[in-house]
Amino acid sequence: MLSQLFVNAVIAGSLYALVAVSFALIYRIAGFFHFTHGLTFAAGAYVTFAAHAWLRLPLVAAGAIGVVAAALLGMAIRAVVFRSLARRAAPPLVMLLASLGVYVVGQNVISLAFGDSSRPLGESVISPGLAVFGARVTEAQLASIAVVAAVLMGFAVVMTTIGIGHQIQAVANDRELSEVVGISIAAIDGLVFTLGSAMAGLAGILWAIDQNMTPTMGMRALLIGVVAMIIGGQKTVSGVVLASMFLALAQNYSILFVPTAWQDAIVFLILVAFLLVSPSGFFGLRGRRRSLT
Amino acid sequence: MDYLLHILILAAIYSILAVSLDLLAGHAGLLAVCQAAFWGLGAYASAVLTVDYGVYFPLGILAGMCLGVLASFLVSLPSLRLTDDYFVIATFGFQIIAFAIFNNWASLTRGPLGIPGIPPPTIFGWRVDSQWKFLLLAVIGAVAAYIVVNRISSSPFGRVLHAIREDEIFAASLGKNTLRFKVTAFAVSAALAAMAGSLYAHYITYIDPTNFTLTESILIISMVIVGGAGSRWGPLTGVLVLVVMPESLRFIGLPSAIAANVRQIMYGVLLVVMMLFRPQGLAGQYRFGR
Repeated sequence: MLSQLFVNAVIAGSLYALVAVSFALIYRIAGFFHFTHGLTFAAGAYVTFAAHAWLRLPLVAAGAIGVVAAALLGMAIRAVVFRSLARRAAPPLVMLLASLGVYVVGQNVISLAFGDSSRPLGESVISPGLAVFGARVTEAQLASIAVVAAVLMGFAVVMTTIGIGHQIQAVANDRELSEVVGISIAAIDGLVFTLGSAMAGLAGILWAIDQNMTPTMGMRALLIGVVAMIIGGQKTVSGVVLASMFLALAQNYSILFVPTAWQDAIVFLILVAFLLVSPSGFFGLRGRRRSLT
Repeated sequence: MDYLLHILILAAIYSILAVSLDLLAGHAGLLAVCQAAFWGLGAYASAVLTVDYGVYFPLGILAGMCLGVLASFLVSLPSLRLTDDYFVIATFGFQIIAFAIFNNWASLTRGPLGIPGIPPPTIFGWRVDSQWKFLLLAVIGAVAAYIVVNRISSSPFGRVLHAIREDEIFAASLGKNTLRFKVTAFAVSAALAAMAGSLYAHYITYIDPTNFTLTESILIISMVIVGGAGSRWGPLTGVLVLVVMPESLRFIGLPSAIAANVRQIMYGVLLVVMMLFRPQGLAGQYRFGR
């Protein structure tokens, strides 16, 4: 029982981490709270569903289409909405409200196209799974953990060793100065929205395979991911991953004491407790980005 | 006619909510995403007291408002340590927690089953049992909320709130205890929203947790922002647009299953369009978040 809860927590935590890391990537560059991340998350899963169940593509190919679709969607929303707002020098809260509007539209379009009911993604083959320390893990879950680990490690390597990663870090730290040294801000903005949305879409697909999907799943994942980002302190992948695992463990082991329906509330109670103790994050250097003006 | 009255009553109740949020969002610059939580708190407090304990309606409203004030301290004291985005997230969190409480504390709220048979209000022998009477009651509530918020915003207290909205550090440097002002504004706002909740519960006569979700909080925010935050007529304009406009869908004859989604899409599009072309709102002067 305890080890099963641990395994469940690792699976959930890895997906929270993917959401949190990709959210933080865009958040640190764009400087506003983009609810549209929840939309690209859900869109990845639903496009995969359409490609798999309706076009009868194999799940891996459909998943690739889903990731690409999420990336394109993130890029398009940035180009159509956020870039026009940025040109008008809109303050972060205006950007936040606009992104909330886009999210509401997108979630309801998904509802109209696919219905509100919970749907499974992938074959519903009941697999006995493998036994790991007395817990049951399915092959799909192992694959999910492996994919997330590979993506996050690759991401961390790119951000710390390769030129483009350094450029992203530079823009996150100081936009004006980065422009002065010749980094194309617009290119970096476009890149992080595309890359971050692709990662969100991937997280959505894996989430849907693990626990079914609903049109509102993006908001739920987004809020948990954001809490993980705040606790983990935005800046390092390892901090965010540890915070995500902590949240997932707290959620899963809370089942021993309270009904599962309280799981979402627990995440936010942790956030509140945490904000009271240390508003700048366990691993964080500073609590929040100061707006530029 | 009944239908028109129904829309007017809903508009009056939403006006209370929009005006109460405007005190925070428009006048103090605090974008709180948990107004539906206080709304639900008032509704549940009043419903549980009148249905399960036979409490007199005005006492039910009063209890709901007191509970709203107490809950507002739980929300405001931790979340007001934060600014902008993080404040929004903290209030989001309280909205989620409040929904979990409405939905899961079954022994008190009856959980997802909801509370049916909420009696019509009786005030000093006046039984509010027709739609006309209820419209009168709701309008009285809306006018009262409007007067309270307007009086506050034009008082010295309101001027300090405006100063905090424009530049909190500056306000603090003049010796104002900005936290105290914000906590007080939060409490007033919560009390008004709770009052709207009681009225709503006794009008609809049946409440369940899905009435008071994040979606409703976002709708209330949209009303304030679309109408124009921090302006005299802004929130009321927003209510008018966002309550009346979707009703036009009924006349096009969309099936109700689709209409709910289309209505949400209209809210979202309106929010985006306003942010792009008129961030101060239809009737506003103050540009939100600047």
